[in-house]
Amino acid sequence: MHATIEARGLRKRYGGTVAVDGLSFTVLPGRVTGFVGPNGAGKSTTLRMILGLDTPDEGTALVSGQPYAALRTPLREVGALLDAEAVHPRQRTRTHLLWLARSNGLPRRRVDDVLELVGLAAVAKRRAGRLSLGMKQRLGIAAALLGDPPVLMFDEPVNGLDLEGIQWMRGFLKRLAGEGRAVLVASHLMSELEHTADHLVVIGRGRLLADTSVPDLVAAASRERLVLRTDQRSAVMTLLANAGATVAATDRDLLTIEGLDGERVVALLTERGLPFSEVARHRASLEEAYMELTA
Amino acid sequence: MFWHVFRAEWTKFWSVPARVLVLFTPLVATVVLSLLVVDVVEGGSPMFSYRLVHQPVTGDGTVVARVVAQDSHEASAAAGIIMKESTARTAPYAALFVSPGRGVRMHTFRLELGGSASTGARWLKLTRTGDVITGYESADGTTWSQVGTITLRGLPARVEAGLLVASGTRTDTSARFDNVSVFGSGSASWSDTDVGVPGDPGGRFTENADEFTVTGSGAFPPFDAYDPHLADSGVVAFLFGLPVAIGLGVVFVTSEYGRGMTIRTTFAAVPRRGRVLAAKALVLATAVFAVEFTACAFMIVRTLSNVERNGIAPASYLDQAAYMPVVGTALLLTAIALLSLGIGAIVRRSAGAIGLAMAVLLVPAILAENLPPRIGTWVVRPAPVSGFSIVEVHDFQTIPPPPRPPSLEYLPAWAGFAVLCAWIAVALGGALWLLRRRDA
Repeated sequence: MHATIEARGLRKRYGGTVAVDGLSFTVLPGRVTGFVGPNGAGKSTTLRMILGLDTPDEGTALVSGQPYAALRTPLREVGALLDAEAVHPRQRTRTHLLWLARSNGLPRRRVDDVLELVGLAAVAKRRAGRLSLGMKQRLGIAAALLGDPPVLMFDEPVNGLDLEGIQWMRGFLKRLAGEGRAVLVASHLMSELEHTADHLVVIGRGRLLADTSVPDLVAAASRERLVLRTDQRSAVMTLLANAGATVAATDRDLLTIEGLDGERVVALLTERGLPFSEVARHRASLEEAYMELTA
Repeated sequence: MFWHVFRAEWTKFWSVPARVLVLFTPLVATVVLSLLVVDVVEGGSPMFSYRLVHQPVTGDGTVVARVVAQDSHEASAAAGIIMKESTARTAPYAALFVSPGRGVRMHTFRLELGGSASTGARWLKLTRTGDVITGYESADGTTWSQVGTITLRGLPARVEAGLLVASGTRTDTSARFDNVSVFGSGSASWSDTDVGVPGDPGGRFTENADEFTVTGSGAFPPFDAYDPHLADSGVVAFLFGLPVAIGLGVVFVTSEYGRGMTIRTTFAAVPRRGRVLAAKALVLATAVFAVEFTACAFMIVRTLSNVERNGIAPASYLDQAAYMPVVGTALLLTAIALLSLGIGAIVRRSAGAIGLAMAVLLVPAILAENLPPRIGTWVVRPAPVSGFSIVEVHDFQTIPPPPRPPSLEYLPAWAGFAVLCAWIAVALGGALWLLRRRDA
C-alpha cells in the first residue's frame, strides 16, 4: 500500500522540554489510524510538524512522499483540523471556507459542497464566533475536505461534541476511510477511538509505544486475570499467594488474581473448603491496555 | 500561484466588519469635516488688515507706483499696489508689494508668489486683462520683469485700484510712494480705508508733489506654502489616516496570532510564507491607498471649490503642488501601513506592535524637536519620519518658499520617502526571515 503520511525520526524540543523524541510511523490509506497518547504526549506537535508549521529539530515528515512545504496546493493533498477555534470569530462561516478555497485555487462550488457535506449549509452566513463548538468542529472538517484530499488529519475531533455529534463524527470518519482515504485521528482518550480506529499509533512522552492493530494491542497488553467473590477474603488471599499468584483486593468481597488459571484456583479453594460465590475470567479492555502502555 | 494567495488574503481582509469600518473611518471623517467646514477662506486672521488708498477703475486697466521707502522692518509688513473687487475685507484682490522681510511678493488670499528679494525702492505694476491680473517689478521703471499672474474668476468690471500699506503690527507706520498712476476709465480722486476696520474714517494719507505718504497698521503674513489650503487639507486627511494605517497594518497580521491561531490555518493552506506576507502587503497597500487617496482628494477638491467661490481660480490638478498633497498623503499612509505590517509580523502581539510602530515613527521626531536644529536634523534624516517630507508642499512648487527661521532640515520629498521605504524593506525583510524560521 502507498504510504500517505510518513514520520521518520521526528524530534522536537521546546526550550528544555523534549516534546517529540525520535518518532517514526506511517499512515496507510483506507483505514482510520488512531493517534493516541496522554495529554502532552506530543500528538499536536507531531501533527504541526507534518503540516510544516513547526520545524523538527531532527527527522522528516513526508506527505504523499513529499515534505509539506513542497506541496503547491496542499489542500488538495492533505486536509487537517488542528483546532476548531482557529477561525476569525467575526468571519462568516462561508467566507472562512471561501478564502481557504481561493488560496489553493479551488472552485467556489467546493465551499457549498463541503458545507452541505458536514451539515452546515443552514449556518453558512453566520459569523464563526456565534457557532457552537460542535458546529465549529464541523466547520473544521469542512475546511479539511475542501480540496477533496486523499489524506486527512484531525486533532481531537470529538472534543466538546454531544453524543449525537460524536456518533455522527465516528460514522463520518469511517466513511472517509471507506472511500480509500488515509485518516489520522489524534485523541487523548482511547475510548473515543475504540469503535472507530482500525489501527493505532500510541505515543507517550514523545516516544512511540505501539504501532499496531486494535486486537493485537489488546492481546499484547492483557495478561489473563480472574475475579473472585468470597466472604473469606484474607484466608483466600493467603492461600492463593502461597500458591504463587498475585492477589489484589479490589472491593470488600472481591479479589483480582493473576498468575494462576481458573481450574487451579477452584481446585485449591475446594480442597481447603473455602467458600466462594463467583469466579470470572477478565480480559483487559482496550482502555486498560492503553493505560498499561502509557502508565 | 501568487494570484490565488492574493485573492485569499483579499477575501480575508474584507471579511471582518470592524476592519472595514476602521478602514473607511478617515474617509467618512474627512468627508463630514469638509462638509462642515463650509468656508475655510474667510478674509484671514484678525491681523489681516491693511490701509488701502484707492480709486475705481472700470474694465481692463493698470496701476503703477514706485515704493520709495517704508518705516517698518517687520516680515509681515507691506507697501505696494493692489486691485480689489471692493474695500470689504473678504473681497477678492491681487496685491503686489515690497515686504521688508520677504522682498517682492504677489499676493491674494493665502496665495503668495515670490518676486525678487529686493526690499528697497522698487517699481511695481499690476495690469488687469479680463479676470487675469499680472504683476511686474522693475528697478528703474523701464525694464520690467514679470512676478506672476493671479486669476480672480468672475471679477466685476469695476474694481478699486491703488496703494496699500501694512505695518506688520497693530501700530501705525508710514510708507512713501512716487510715480503713482492709474490707467483706465474711472474717477481720478483718491480715498482711503482700513479694510480690516468697518466704518474706518480714512484720512491717513497725504499727497504732496507726486509723493504719497500712507500710514497703516495690519499685516500680510507670510505663508509657508504655495497654496496652504492643499497642504492643510492633506494634513487633516493624514491625521485621520495615521492611526488607522498603523492599526490596520499591525492587526492584519497580529489578529492571526490571537485566539485560535488562524495563522496555522493560513500557513497550512499556503506553506510558502513569503507569499502570504507579500499578499498581505499588497492587499493592505491597495486598500489603504485607495481609501486614503479618495479621502484626501475629496478634502482637497472641496477646499479648492471653497477657494473658487472666494474668487480665486484653483491651481490646476496637474500641477505637482496641487496633486502631491493627495498622492503624497496616500503614499505616506500606505507606507506607514506597510511598516506596521512588518512590525506586526515581527512582534506578533497587537498592543506591543502598535506601541513599537508609534515609537519608531514618532520618537525620533519628538526627540529632534527638542534638540538643537543642527543635531535634530541628523536624528530625523535617517529615521522613518523622513518619509513625512513627501507631504511637504514646498518640495513640489516651482516658486521659492519664503525664508523661514532656522529649523530641522528634513530630506527632500522623494529622498525622505526613499528612507521610509528602506525602513519598510528592513521591517518586511526581518518579518520574512522570522516567519520562515519560527514555528507558526
